[in-house]
Parts: sequence; structure tokens; C-alpha cells
Amino acid sequence: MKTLILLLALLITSFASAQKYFTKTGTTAFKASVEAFEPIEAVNESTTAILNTQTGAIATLLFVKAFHFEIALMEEHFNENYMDSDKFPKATFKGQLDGFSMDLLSNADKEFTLKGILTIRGKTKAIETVAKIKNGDGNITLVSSFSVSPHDFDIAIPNIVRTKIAKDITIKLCYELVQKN
Amino acid sequence: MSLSKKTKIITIILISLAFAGYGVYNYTYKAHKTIDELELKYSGTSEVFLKKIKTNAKHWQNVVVQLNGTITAKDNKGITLNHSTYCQLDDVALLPSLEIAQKVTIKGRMIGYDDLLEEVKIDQTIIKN
Repeated sequence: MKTLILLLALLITSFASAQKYFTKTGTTAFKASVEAFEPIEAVNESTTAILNTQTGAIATLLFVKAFHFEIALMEEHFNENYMDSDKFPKATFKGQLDGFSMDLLSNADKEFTLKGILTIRGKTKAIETVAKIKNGDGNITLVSSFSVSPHDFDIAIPNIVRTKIAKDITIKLCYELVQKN
Repeated sequence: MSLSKKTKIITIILISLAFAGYGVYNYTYKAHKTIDELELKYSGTSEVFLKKIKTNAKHWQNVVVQLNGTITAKDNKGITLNHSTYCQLDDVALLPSLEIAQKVTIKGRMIGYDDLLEEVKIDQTIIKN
């Protein structure tokens, strides 16, 4: 009997793990540029994202210091003065794709509502946006964008640079997910 | 022809302004440091490093490390050492030359411990052997 239960448990876990798609190298980019000034934008190409294709649940994690800026000094300021990334190294998002089902995916983009909680600098914010998802060659591609304000995460922008940093910061995501074994 | 005092002063001011401008420009647009230019904070096996991270994760964030290990997995951006350390390569063109079960020494920047996948994450990885 015990062996049967163990076997069943094993079967269930292997079945459950087969329902996950993930990436370790997803792209998360943000833009806080104001026209006529030096572009303020950075890309993080080491974002971890996991999608449970049975439930539509999404979890992502990125390290703030892995954001790469064109200008090294800007990267330094971003980490030290604005994001306090020694103290808050991670940013996370936990969310849900409404009405998600693998059967709805094709190799053309399909739109789903994505709702969830974004955590930056230990502060949370509810996000609702649209995610475009497609399934090509067994890989799921998820593309989405939304905007946040520095104020949402208690990021103080000094007066002297206030006009050079956009009030709404656009965050773009592009995750190519492969099946997790 | 000797220059008037005024011309001399203006010339000196202009030259110093040019130097100052050059200095400010260099400071603002300084290049990113490469992995080899940064100070190495840990050198050893990936297993021992994993134990160190588990005891004090914050201490090991954003530091350059050199690790020995065996490749246990590969994807299109990097390699996994000993099932526990994901190394995103600086140059993905090196991937075809790396085989599973191969022993390697890598150098890269430790970006953090990924608790979703329960592994160490390293980027800007270069292969040392």
C-alpha cells in the first residue's frame, strides 16, 4: 500500500512539474526618458520567470543590479541613490493570467489580462495589464508592458534631476519560456 | 610679439575650461568595468560557494567569483554547474564548445541567489580554461 501511495505521489509530482514553463534569461527593460535629455533606460536580461500552464499563475524574479545601462555612471546612481539595491536586491512579480489555457495558444499572439503584485524596494503595487502570448515550436513567448511611478515605491527623485526623469516609467517584458523538466 | 596680460589670462582660463570639460566628460561617460578588471572576491568550487551563499546571501551579492565545477546542463544563453549554479555567458558563441559533464573554471559576476529556481545566478561569465 505504501509503495502504491509513493508511486502515486511520484506520478502526481512529475505530472505537476510538466505543467511549468520557465526562463532564466528573460528580458525586462524600463524607460524613464524625457525628450531632449540623455535617455534613461536599462535592460535586465537575467530575469527568471515561471508560468504554470495549468493555472495561469506567473512568478518572476530579477536582481536590480543586473540592470545594464549604456552609461556606467547612470547605473551606479540607479543602484545607489534610487533603488538602494544593496538593501533591496530583488524585484518580484506574482500574478495571474485571466482565463489562461494552453489550448487557447497558437503561433499568433493571443491577449490575456495579467493581474498581479509587483514588489520593488519592499513596496508592493497592484498591476493590471495585457499580456500577448504565443506558442511556437513548443516555446511560449510572453510579451507585456505597464507603467509605474517612482512614487509608488517611495523612490525620491531630487529636484535637480526631476525634469530629466519621466513621471511614468514604462516597463517592458519579453520572456521566452521553455518547458521545465 | 608679446601677448597682453588680458590675452594670457583668457588663454589660461580657456585651457583650464577645456581640461575641466574633458575631466567631466570622462567621469560621466566612463566605460563599464569588465569582469577581469574587477576585484575577485571568491575562488573555489561551486559547491563550497553555494554553502557560503546559503549562510550569508547578502554578503555575496554583486561580487566577482571564479568557480570550478562540472557542467550539468546547457541552454541557449549559458551553462549550469553542479545542478546549482547558472552561469549566463558573456559570449554565447562559446556554447557549442562546452559539453555536459565537462569540468570548467568560470569567472563571472554573482548577481544573487534565485529562490524561485533555487540556484545561484551568475552573469557576464567568461570561461577560464
